[in-house]
Amino acid sequence: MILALPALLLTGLLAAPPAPRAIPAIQAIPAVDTSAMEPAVREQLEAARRTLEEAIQRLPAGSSSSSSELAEAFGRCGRLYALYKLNAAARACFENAARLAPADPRWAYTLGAMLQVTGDFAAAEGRLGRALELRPGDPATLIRLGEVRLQLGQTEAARQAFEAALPLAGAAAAAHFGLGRVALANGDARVAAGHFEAVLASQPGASEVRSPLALAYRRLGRLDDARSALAGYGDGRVTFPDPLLEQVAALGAGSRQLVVAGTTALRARRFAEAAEAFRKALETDPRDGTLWVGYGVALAGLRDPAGAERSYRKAIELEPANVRAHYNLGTMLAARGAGREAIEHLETAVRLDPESRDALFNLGQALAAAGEPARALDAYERLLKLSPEDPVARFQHAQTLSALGRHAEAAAELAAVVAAAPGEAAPRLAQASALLRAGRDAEARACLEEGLARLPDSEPLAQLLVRVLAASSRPEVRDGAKALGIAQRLLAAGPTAEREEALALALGELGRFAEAADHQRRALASPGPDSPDRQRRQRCLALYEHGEPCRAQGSP
Amino acid sequence: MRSLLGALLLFLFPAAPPAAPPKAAPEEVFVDRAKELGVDFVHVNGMSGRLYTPEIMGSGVALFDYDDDGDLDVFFVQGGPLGPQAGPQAAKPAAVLNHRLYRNDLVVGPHGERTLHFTDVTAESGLRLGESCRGGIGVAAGDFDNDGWTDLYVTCLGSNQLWHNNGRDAAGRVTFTEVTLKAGADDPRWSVPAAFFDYDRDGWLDLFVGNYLKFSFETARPCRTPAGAPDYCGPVPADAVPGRLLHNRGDGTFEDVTAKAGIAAEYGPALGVSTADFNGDGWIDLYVANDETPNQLWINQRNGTFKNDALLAGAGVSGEGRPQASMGVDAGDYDGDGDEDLVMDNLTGEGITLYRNDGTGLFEDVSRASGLQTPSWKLTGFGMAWLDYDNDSLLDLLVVNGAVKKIEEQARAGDPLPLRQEKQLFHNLGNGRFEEVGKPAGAVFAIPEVSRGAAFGDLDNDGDTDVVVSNNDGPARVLINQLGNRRPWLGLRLLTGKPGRDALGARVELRRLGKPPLWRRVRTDGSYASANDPRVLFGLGDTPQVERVVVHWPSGRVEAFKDVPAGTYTTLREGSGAAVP
Repeated sequence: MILALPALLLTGLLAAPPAPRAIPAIQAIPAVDTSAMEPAVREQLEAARRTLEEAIQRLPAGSSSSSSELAEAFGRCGRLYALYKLNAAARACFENAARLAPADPRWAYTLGAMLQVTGDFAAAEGRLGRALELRPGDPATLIRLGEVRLQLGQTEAARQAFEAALPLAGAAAAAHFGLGRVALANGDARVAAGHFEAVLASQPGASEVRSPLALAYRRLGRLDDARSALAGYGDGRVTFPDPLLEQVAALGAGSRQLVVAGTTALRARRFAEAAEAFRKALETDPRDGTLWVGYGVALAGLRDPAGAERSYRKAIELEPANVRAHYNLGTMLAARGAGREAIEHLETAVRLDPESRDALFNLGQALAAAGEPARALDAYERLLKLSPEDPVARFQHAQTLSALGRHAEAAAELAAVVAAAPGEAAPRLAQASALLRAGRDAEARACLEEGLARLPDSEPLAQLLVRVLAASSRPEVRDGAKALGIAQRLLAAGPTAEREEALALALGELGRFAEAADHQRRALASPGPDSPDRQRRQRCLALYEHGEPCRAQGSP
Repeated sequence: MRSLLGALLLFLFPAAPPAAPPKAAPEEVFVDRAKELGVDFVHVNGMSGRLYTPEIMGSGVALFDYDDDGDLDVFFVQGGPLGPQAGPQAAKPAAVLNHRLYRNDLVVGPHGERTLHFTDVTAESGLRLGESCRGGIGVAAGDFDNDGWTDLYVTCLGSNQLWHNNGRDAAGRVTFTEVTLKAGADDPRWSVPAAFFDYDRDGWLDLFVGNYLKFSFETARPCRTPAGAPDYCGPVPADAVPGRLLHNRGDGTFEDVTAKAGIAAEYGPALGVSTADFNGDGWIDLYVANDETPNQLWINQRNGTFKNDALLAGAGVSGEGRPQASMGVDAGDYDGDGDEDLVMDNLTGEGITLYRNDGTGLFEDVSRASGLQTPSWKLTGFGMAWLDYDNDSLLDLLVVNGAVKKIEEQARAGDPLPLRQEKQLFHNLGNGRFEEVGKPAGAVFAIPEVSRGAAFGDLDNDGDTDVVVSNNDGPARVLINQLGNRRPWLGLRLLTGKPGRDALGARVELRRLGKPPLWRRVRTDGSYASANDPRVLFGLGDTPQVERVVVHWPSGRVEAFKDVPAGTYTTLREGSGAAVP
């Protein structure tokens, strides 16, 4: 389908062709097939085309003032075509607008930006250069000019453009990014690193910069710094204010543009903006399940769980095979304790997408929370087949084994997690607990001692080690003096019930029952409900008062 | 200068479609001779109108000597009807919807004159598409059981296929048997690239299979253009599927060692794979090119495990820090410094990426400076490889293209598959830069097609590299090199073990008098979903005097061979050369 002028208008034009005009020659706008487009977009494009034709009709002979009106009409067409990536038509419109209004920087700039994207770098350089003449010192023009010149291998000219942009409002990060790459191209890694560091100081979220920064460090022989930089690598882009292109983006009509806007806003955690975009898109496409999911995610971000839940349910009603809707609803229900229904939706998500690691993980969690460790174990085992090196999945798998009383297997599994994440305290704690439950107190002690040597500031590890050293049922494992030393160091950091209790345990093991009782009373001094902790402390206090140490009944 | 009215009239009568490509000029480098050579393969993508992404991803092509008669045969991977509501293409006869094997019946006359012709031997070969494949995508070639006959691994949207080459039977026929399940080599996920390589130096070819995305007809839905028109979907990184590393047990079966080898730790939607020794330690590494997520450079730790070093090595993302589409990939020493440089093609708006190796496995993105990026910016590349098309001793680059998003002008013209783009040929200028010479090099370069697979090799054994292109939903092309062998050349086939299989991964150093050595590698992998000629072809340029050939075998052995003649292919066997300390 060709977007043609309305028949009547064309007939009129053909019957009475306009007199020669004192305006520059313009070029034809390539036809665009609008037949498959969203109705809102089609109407918008056709309206813009009509406006253009009317502007042509109104053009009086020899008038230069009307050229600007026509330029505006061409410019609007160009912006719309550019927005919808109809680049050939957009280019022709912008060319016409720029010819008709050569002093208007908007058309040269927008055309230059479009040519930059389409890879017409030499032409882009010309247009952006013209835009800069018309609007000297414009930061966005300077940044784009620098980028295009860099692409053309004109590093010195690129450097000049970026240098000029550096002090301008909002442009520093993008200018540093460009200057860093110019420096790398010139072989100056030290200067490059400085510029990339400046980008991150200005825009910490611009995580893409960490890759060239790492390359600069690498060239400087700073491999540790390079690795450290890469640890935070991601897809965060360097940005700069670009008001003219923002105006283009704001012209978008139709749900597709709203989806793009909503998705972009979601990624940036601008939930209100995202919710508004999806809400508007749903006015056009109320039967699109994906839009309902996006709307639900935005509402969840706005702390409207009821609204989010309604959205997910609507998505499932419309698209029963919408994996994301089942997954999101399942996790949301699990978080609010609706375990049974959560499990149903997560199981559906897994059935629809058997390789969804997230769904399997959350299914395992939901099943474990619902008191179904055997089924949870199955979910984790399926997850581990997909991600055998995922330490979190392995950790949960081990915890589930423990819950099933399979402590020895859990301990073995946790040893692997500890090896994979040696800097984490939780797996070591869980491993020691599993070993204690398996009756392997000596190994638990060794595990805790090794952990504390590596993570000396971990209080949970220290607390459990004191318990093992002071209260293990196995005499060969106990070491009261060592327990006392650790407990005293803990208490030195400030009194808490747990620290007082640990010290009491150690003192009790050493036969210093009066002191143990004294500290145990302090542990019990803080008010609290009758809990297992409180009952245990009272039991131990009674033992100390009778001149006996408090030993583990089973595990410490 | 046109008038306003003239412009308006053009609104009414849009420009005519592009003119037909010019006719072949006498000095064309490459000429498409598919039809006259008997290669009539037509790929069927199974498009149903529902715009399923797998429709536009196939297929690959392999060049390999299936019957061991000394010339390259051609195997094409076929697509097929997709989904429960496949379109009219599903009605095509089964014979059409099959992989195709063409036997090379090359005849060389007493004065070296060549008569090249191919015969379709699919039916007698036993190779077939099969239902469980659900549409073929790519192919890898290698002799996995060391019986001296090259086997095939076909990647599919569904279950992959390992075809064992049974060798020649009593009737003189060479047939294949599918042994996928027996060998433990299946992968039911959507796989694209695959590569055979012996990563642990045990003498048996292991197999890496790159997987792409999760896909199901039940949940698939078309994506949309910015204007809301239906279009094919791009990748969603979260839907990536991990690849698989299969260790060859040496008994005809494979063990999945993906996790054990550390490969499971990181993955993306894989589209390309290249195996080579990137850090110069003598052990074969693995480079996996992923769609719009960082690529992986798996460095062989020499103990059965790998470590991904791509980001630190500078080969994971572009110099700007951005992941790219990375469809086709190849490794080769384009700058003659003795190491493996990486090149890959990308989506429209990204251009070709060239990572130059500093010899230690650290790379620098020189895409812009090389002159490769800008001319390829508007195109979406798939099959590609380093080749010295003019035998001037410098590696050039040939890229076949085809978009993955509808091209407005073609869609408006009513093209049912509006993704057609031209091919490109880049000439290595020897100074780190390349010049695009495609259109002068052949009329075929100006024909817009939806090209995917491309396999590179010397089909007529005349000492220059030819190219076979598999076009999505269209006829294949056989690009015969017309002039490469006007310059001197030296060809090698490197065999290891008994009875001898191609020593994939071997590096060959050709020492010349008064010139730096030339380095090439025995490889079938690279390109996009395709398998190349395993032989090594050296263009000797203006220095035909060869001092000796030094082979760095994948086993770690280094041997020198003297008196290797130019102008012919010579077979070198591991263990038959002089040891080099």
